[in-house]
Amino acid sequence: MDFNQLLESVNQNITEAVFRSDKDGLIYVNNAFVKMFGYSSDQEVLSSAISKMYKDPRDRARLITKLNADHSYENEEVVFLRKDNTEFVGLVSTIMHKDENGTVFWDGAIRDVTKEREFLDRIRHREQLLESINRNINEAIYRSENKMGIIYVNDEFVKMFGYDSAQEIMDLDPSDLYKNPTQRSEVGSEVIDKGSIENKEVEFRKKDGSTFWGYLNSITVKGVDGKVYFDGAIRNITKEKEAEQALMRHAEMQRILINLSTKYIDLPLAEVEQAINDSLRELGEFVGADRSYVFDFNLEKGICSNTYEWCGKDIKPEIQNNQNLPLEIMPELVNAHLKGNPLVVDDVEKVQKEDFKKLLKDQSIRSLMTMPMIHGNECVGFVGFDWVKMLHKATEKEIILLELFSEMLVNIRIRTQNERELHKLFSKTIEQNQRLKDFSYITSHNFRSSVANLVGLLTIIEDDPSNKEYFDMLKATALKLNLAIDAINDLLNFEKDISMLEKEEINLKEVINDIMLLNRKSATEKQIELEVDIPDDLTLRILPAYLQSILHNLITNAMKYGVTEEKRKIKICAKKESKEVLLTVADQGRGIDLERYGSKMFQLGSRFHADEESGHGMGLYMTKQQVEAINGRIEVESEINKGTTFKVYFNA
Amino acid sequence: MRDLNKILLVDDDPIFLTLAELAIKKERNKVEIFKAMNGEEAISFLKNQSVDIIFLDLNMPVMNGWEFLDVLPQIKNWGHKVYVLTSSIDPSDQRKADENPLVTSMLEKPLDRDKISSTLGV
Repeated sequence: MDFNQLLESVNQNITEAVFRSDKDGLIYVNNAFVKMFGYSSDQEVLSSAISKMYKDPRDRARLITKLNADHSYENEEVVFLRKDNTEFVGLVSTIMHKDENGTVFWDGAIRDVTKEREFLDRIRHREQLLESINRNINEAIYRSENKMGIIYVNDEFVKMFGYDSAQEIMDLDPSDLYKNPTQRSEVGSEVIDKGSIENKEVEFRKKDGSTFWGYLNSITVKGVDGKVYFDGAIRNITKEKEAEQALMRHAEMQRILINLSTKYIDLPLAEVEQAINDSLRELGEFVGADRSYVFDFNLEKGICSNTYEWCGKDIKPEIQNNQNLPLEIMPELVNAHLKGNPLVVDDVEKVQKEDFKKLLKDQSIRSLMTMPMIHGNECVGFVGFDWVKMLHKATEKEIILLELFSEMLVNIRIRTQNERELHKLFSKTIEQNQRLKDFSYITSHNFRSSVANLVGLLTIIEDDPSNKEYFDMLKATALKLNLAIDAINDLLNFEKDISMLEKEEINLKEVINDIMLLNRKSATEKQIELEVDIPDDLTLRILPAYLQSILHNLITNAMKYGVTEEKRKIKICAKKESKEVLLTVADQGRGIDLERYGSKMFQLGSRFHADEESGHGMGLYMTKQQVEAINGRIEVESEINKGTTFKVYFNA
Repeated sequence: MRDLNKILLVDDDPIFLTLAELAIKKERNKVEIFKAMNGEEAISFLKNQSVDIIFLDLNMPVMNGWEFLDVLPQIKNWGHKVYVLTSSIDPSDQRKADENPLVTSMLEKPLDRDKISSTLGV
């Protein structure tokens, strides 16, 4: 094969434009050249000026300079002009030759790289776009591969995870980016199984160890190299999570508030205690406190006591240590509450007063919040939360919650108190009713037995009108009936409204003397030896009629049933004992078997002595009623054949 | 019918005891009447002597009628019948009398001719 022929064939068939030129211009171009520059034939090209083919004439000058210096150049980028003046980018390479005659030629080739250039530009644009997206979006973008780990992260990724550079992350074990490192392989399997995951909530870990919640989106991509890549984006949803949690807390708080405000409305008294304990637990758990509690003030005694307490897990109760505390030991708290203000201590270490700080620290308290319970204008105590395990900064919502709870507690206590008083009144009414009923049976019984006797006696007197014995019996019966009627009058007087009567300052010794004067006759008859041991100046502020009646009953009882032939001593003593006056009436008579009769001692209609002087069973009953009506109490001590002592305690 | 001739009256009212004795003796010739001032006296009496009928008051000192009825079963051969004889109008007394198997019935004072007939027989 002819070598020139082969050369020509190559020249005519390759896509590069091939040319030869000498100092006068082009002397050879191949078909590709003609086509590349938009001419119709090689002759047309060869007759055209080379300078017209450069867009910028300085390019030509630069290339000639380069050829003169180096005799060749390679892949110089030049913008050429076609015949129709359109542009294309070409890479041109040229070598200088010299023939035996010393004539200089330049042989060269041009490759049209317009398309490649456009392609590269497109890629460059895309890269730029990607870069720009990566820089500007708030999502962390990454690419990872099973063996290589993370191979790309954007700036946001570095920022979001708190690292210094992308390289630092790529050098990591990717599991370290998860709060729970094992979660990485789980997420990986899920992406492989499904091909992608969308907005999966994952808790990630930052370089400093703190964690955050993110939405993870990821897909698998098969790379040009055949490997499987995971491309993903992470959005930090800490704010959303916080908002969601805040919303949940808000809803929870609303629920607690509604619960609090409705729970106590119709609560039976017996369940109030439990309800308060439940609320303490619920509120304590809600605010994350370790203890919640109620303290009641006793301003009169200047003390306060812990009445209810809830403790979180592993927290030591303090209720036992917080009984009857003097108010002076915590003036900060007490003064704030007496003014109606809450007390908030975010950090006990910062408390100024050393003794108050010690008091709190002794209970391991690190933060606390207390709220006064205000009834009317008076502070009756406080409710509060303690934080033991960690410091706590009080929020406005917590303060509002505590305030509401405090109001609720005050209300329930007022209601409880009212109901208790009502209940007491009710019991008293029932008791009074029963007493009246008992009384009517007793009086009716007394009347009827006397009347029955009267009828019986009158019947026998009809048969035997001259029998004096029967007349004596008639008279005794009539007198007994009269006594029964007197007893009713006493009792009815006693049942009068006690508030209508007025108290007087009465000297106890004088009253006893008066009573002894009234009973002088029987005292003399029975040769009573009376011993009175009462300070001359001992007085009582009391209803005079009641005092007289009580003393009269006890003394006449002692004279009737407490003396024997040998033992005729009655001792009356009185002395002041702190807030009471104790009066005792003691005899040395036969005594009463308290084991047998103790429970009946003060009952209506009870009688203990089988003799002529036996009464209507009203004396001690009345005495006890009278003593209790003036808020005193009565006790009895007795021993068979040793004597009986009645003790009456009056409020001084 | 067998003669019911041993009668124990238990009452703390001496006038009632006298009246009851007279009233019974007026209706019956062959009766023996014993008297006790309270439950305790009646119990000590019954320890030595059995009777045909007991007329029992309720409201008495030392040992009342109910307490007497509690102790009575401890005494062998005390007798036959107990009538509660009282002026009480307390319904709880009537109820207790109805429920007590020892009590034949509860009568209201005074003890007149009709009541003597119905308890001692005509």
